[in-house]
Amino acid sequence: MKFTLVINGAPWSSQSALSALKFAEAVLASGHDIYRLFFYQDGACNASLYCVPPQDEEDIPERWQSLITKHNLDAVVCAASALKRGILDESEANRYEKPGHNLRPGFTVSGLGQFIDASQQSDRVISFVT
Amino acid sequence: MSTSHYLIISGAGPYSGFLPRAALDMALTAAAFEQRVSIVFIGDGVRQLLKNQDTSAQEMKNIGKMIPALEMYEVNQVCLHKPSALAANIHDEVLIDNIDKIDDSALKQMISGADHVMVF
Amino acid sequence: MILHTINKQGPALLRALAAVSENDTVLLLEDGVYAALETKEEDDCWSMLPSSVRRFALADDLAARGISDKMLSGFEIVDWHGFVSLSIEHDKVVSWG
Repeated sequence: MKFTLVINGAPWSSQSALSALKFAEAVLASGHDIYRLFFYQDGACNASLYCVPPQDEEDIPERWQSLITKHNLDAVVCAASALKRGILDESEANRYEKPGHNLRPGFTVSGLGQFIDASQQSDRVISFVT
Repeated sequence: MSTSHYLIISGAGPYSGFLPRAALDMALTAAAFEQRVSIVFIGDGVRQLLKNQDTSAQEMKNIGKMIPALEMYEVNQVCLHKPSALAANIHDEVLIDNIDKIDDSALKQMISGADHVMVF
Repeated sequence: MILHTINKQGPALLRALAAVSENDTVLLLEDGVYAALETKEEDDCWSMLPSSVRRFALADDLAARGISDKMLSGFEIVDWHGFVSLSIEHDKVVSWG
């Protein structure tokens, strides 16, 4: 089965982002596919390269990146959500004349239409809410 | 793209955080992609439908002004969960016009019939 | 048949339960698992559900909160793989928060 997961929560602000990560891992371990991970609203913060959690806490953005890279997953961050929260890829950083960019490798920024597309193409859509 | 029915359930107060706008954005996007879209305001979300919201002093975007635009942007159904309104002591005269009122039974049917249900 | 997931108590839980129909399933996770605890009779929100509704609570969240052995009867404990299986068995998943 093909799953799309919607991640709405920022890492560590609630349990939501980690629940989504664990569910994603279980989907793949069960032999199913993830069509898309869609990071929406505060979920965009999971794509930040600049989060530095304490050493004794889960590095949730890093774990997402590892999962995405290992399984070649399509990880889309909603553009409006990302911009508002200061998660910028290189082209947006240039466009808005910001001094740096911080979108993690493996993530792409795109519109909410990518969620509509994903929901059409997937067998199951699971949203991890805050 | 094929056509699916998206039900958006909006349960947060208008100025509680990002949830109300997240719900509206999703409804409008689905409508822009020519999907069938219903939005139901439930719980504290019914307060998004109050008339006379004036956010100028607080410098926030006015949610009340965005709701009437939903129909214009082809969101097919805009509904108020009547039991939530009653619980909040909110009566028709203080609400924005042209909102359908639904009860628990109708909500269950909408949830059952939709292809995708997103709760905000 | 719908799988309803609920991640907190309070108004969100009650709203979710009001939306549950015959043969639907409820899965509690995160802080929602507290709703699986034994409670005073007048606070019982589960008795109003049809008996056909199955109820689950996520094992790891019960363990995290130290309440694995304090659950109401009528709840089954499920792990992450079980959550995946439940999502496949049902027509769709509605996540309440």
